[in-house]
Amino acid sequence: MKKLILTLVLAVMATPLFAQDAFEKMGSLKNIKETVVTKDAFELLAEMDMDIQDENLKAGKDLLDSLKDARFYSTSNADSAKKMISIANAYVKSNSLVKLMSVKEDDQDFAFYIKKGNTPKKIQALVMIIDETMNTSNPEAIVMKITGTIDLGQISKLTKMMNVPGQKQIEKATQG
Amino acid sequence: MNKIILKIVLLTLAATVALTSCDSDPTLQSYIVDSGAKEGFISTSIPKSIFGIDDNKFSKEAQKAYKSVSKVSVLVYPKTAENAAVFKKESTQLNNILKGNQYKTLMVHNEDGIRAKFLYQGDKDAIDEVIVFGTSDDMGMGVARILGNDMNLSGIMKMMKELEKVDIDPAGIKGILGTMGIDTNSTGDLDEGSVKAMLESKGIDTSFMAVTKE
Repeated sequence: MKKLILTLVLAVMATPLFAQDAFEKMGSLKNIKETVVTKDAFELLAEMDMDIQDENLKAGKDLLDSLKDARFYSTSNADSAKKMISIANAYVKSNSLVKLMSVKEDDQDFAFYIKKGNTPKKIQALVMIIDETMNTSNPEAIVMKITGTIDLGQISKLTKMMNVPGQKQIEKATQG
Repeated sequence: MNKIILKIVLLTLAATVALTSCDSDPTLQSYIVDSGAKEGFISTSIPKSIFGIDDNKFSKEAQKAYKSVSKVSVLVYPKTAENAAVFKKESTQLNNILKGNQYKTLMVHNEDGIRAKFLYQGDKDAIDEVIVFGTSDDMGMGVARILGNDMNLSGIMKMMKELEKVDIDPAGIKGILGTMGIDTNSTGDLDEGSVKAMLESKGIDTSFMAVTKE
């Protein structure tokens, strides 16, 4: 009986650990680029945002306040790219993210996933995976994860602000 | 049985408190000051005047931002074949200091074996110090602190934009490094990389610079 309880407790404890571990694993791959932007950075940007006059440049305090953290990973190393994609896909599966859209072009698979939040228009996380590992001359992989309490309609604004690749597709997916 | 357990718990608590209060949180400042004297470390303080910036050419907001910055303090520890073990200890220690509650991490960027961390201390609209910490398994580690009073990010960004148009005089930088014993004429080895990297992160052109170990 005790053993069963212990196993259950460990199993429950292990699950949340796995969720973040996935991206930490990605961060320890060789020959990759990793960028992490924290909530503190978004708060600082929100401060700055208030001074910007140009409406087009303004990200909007609401948007910046809704972000928790943003992670970007990319690589042109064939081996790391494959590993990166599989870690990302495993994360999507184990966290039950829902595919919002996907585009398959020649050498590139683009997919956009979201994790629904507590209210219909808000999402907790969005993950973008660009898989170009089948391009033998120039294999690449790009993975992006943004967490927070994000308004679905604001996503294209967000990706524009971050100058994320695949913007056109994202805009179509989230506003169409 | 219970009494013994209680005693053990209390003793452990007491021991923990005693241990943590003995090892009081070293701040980045104290670490930098202490390390200046350690072998292999290069520590310097760069005053604003070195850049030869004429702030009269700035807009009011940029001038205010320029005035809010007091100085840049840099600590570099190049990695050599001999100091690998010490390097690991020191970089772990520095990393731990920067995990302290008073430091807020803004961004982390890893690329080509170099890990860079950007942090700040203070309030978001009144920043006291901006910290750039970089480590590289090949070259070494460095930390730069931009110190000031109530620095405001948007003001600083405006200042940086205007700086692109205003001239920066590199002769001042060469001079200071010379007085520190860093030869700016001959070529160095590993150290060159870390010092250069540190300065380049400030936007200073280092193509003319070379460094030798002290």
